[in-house]
Amino acid sequence: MIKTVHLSKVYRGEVKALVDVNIDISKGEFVFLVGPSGSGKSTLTKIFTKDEEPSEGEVFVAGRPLNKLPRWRVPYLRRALGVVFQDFKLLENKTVYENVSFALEVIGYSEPRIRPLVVQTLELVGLSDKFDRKPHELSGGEQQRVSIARAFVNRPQILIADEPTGNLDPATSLEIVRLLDRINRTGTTVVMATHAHAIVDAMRRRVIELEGGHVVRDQDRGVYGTRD
Amino acid sequence: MALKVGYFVREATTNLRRNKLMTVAAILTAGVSLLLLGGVFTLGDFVNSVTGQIESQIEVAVYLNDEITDAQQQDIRTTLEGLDVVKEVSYISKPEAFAEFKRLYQDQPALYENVDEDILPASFRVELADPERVDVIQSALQRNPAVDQVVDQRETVQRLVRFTGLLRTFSFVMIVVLLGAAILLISNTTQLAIYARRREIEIQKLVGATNWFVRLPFMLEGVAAGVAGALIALLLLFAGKTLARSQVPAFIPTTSLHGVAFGQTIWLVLLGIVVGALGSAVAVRRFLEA
Repeated sequence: MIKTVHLSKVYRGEVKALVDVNIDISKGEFVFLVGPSGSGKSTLTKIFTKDEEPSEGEVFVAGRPLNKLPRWRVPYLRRALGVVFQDFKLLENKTVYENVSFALEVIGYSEPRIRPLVVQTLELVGLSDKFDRKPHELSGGEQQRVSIARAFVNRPQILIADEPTGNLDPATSLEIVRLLDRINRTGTTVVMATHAHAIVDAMRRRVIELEGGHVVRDQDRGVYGTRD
Repeated sequence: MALKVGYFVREATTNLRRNKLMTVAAILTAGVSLLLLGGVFTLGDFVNSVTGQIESQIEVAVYLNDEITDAQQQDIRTTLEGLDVVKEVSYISKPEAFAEFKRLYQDQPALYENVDEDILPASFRVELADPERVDVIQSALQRNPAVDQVVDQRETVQRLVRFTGLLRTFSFVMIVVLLGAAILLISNTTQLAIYARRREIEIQKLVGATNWFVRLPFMLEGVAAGVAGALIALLLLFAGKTLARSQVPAFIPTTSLHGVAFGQTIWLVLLGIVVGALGSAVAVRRFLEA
């Protein structure tokens, strides 16, 4: 589902964000990307979504060779990916329902197809009673659920979450990861960049650890580790 | 597809309503730019029609020797009428020439009072289809012993032709510059409105909207503003032309100042559409690349 071959990323010709990264993530996997701030986690997720270009090496995402992907095809890559961020990125002037339906509207879904998908997805994330709320009326955890619903509503092959629990307390964080786990069980590949030890240790999933741009560990059923 | 069209129209109209001030600013910007364009068009038309008339009045005078026979005179007329570039030939006899002279200088009687009516030569006045081809007449008649001299207004013609050519280049450059300026102005005005919606654009891109999908509602807004601006420009242009018509001296033809021609209306509306669409496309580009 995601594969990198000798992937390197250098910013402004000097800062080495990623060095010779070779990873292979299969369909249906749940993978934690861990490592301290500045270790290259975010750069890696940005390369997967083609927000950043690799300096060297090859990247394949959802069956597409990203190096050869023309600019006009990028939107179609993004439709195969759901992306969740630390800061939710919700539209404040739209309701919960509209925030999620917006994602389908702008990729050209017709109205009759949109409604059942949005309702079903909001039920999945546990917000069936909050359709008409605005984001500022919700807790942080609820806002992140909306953002996950928006990322998942068109049933992407891969869900990429960059520090999705960074703004949340430990209990809420665990709920969010459980939700991602539930989504993973529908067959969606999940890649989550995080530095929340407790969560990684509780889930016991594949862990890829980055440090200074190098992959220093790739372990099935791993824990966060003792390095920091 | 019908649903998508609905989406674009809905987006464009809500945004036009949401940013009333910006909309007014964009419409006025388009209006002023298009008015200037319409002004350049009109000025070009007007100058063309005036120089056209002047050109049509330009004649070549073929002055004849005093001792000319009727046969020689007829011979010259035949030669002239046989030339391709000649449109019309008229004969001015000696008395006619004197009468014309008197008419031209009627406020200076000293010039002709004590002069013999025979003093001015008879001539052929030749009107040319192409005022620049005076040389043809010259070469056809210069060896004819009955001809005294051929006097043309070549210099006037050439100056006129140079002037209209210059004017044409100038108005073309003006039109290009004005169009560019209009696009930039519209783009600047709409950029603020787009900035207010940059988060929406960011999320549209995040979930995989194509650039055209993001761009289209903004372009539709731009087109609406451009067309509204064109209508304002047309109204002002009509008023301006009516005013100008009353100011122009009577001997200058004013057909180019009557109303606003259908063709010009279409042009201005089309340019309004182009300027509005390109202006907002340029404005939204910055946010698409971010």
